[in-house]
Amino acid sequence: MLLKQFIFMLLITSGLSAQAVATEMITVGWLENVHIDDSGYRLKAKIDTGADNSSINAEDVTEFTKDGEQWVKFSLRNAWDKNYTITKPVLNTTRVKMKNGNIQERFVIELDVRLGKVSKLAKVNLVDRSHFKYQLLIGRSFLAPQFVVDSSRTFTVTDK
Amino acid sequence: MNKNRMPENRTSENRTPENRISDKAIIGWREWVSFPDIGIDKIKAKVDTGARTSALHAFNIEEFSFNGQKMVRFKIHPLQRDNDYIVVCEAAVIDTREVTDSGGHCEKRFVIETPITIGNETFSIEATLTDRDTMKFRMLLGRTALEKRFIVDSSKSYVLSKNINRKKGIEK
Repeated sequence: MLLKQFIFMLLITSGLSAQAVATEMITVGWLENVHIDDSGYRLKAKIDTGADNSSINAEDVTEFTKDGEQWVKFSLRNAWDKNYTITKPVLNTTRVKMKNGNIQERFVIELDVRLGKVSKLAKVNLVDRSHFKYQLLIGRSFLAPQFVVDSSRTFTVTDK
Repeated sequence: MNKNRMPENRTSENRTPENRISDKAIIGWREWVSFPDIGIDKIKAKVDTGARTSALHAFNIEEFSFNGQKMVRFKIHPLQRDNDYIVVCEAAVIDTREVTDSGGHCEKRFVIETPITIGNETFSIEATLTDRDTMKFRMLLGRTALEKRFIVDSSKSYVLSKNINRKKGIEK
């Protein structure tokens, strides 16, 4: 009887680990250093399950038209005090309702973001986050479906 | 047939909490939770790794003293679309704290400590009280409350909410 229970427990445990492997979820911390484009430029990102979308601290934002398309040029400054200039077509503009009730209109661009070994296009909106600690906020639309967040950890898939 | 024996068709899925990573349970980005000690049977929480502390959207917050203990009495609308349903809560104040919200605004808030039930687990959490009525969710579950027990899968909702939805009706 005891032996049967023991075997049963073993089956459960092995079943569980098999399930964990099958889903191939990557556990990230609530802070990670991500890479932008293929440039090797790093940004400290807050992984925020409370945000729908991702947003980035953009400085010196200038808008221009190229071949009839709306483009935007802006610069980033990271925690290591390095600048990086990005020029991208504007995907759309989004209206974000702020906590104080004001509505802010923001440009949305697509940015290649690498988090650990996974590289994917993130839709990010441009915002003045200069009064915040972290220049990049990664929201749920980027995280689904492969990332899960362990809020007790930081820099689990990236170097500090 | 011996009733104590495990039925053959019981699989690991219905025997153990599904979706566990290491020793932590998977939680969705929205969950129904309850606060047994302050009379909140059911409130929808946003699971927010972007916030350190948890927050409750309270109103008519008043401080009082009971046996020398600093207390706070406040009201809550636990249901987003039902402003007629009000729960009056009382809890001990363990701290007052300056909290900066996502808009960069700083606010002094009371901090209470009270048990929360999420899925099958009940444990104590700290929560700040705020009366910002622009909060869409009446409850934010922050990193400190999550860190020992949960891993957030933001592609899912109500992973741990099944019990609360089924068993606890809303008493008006």
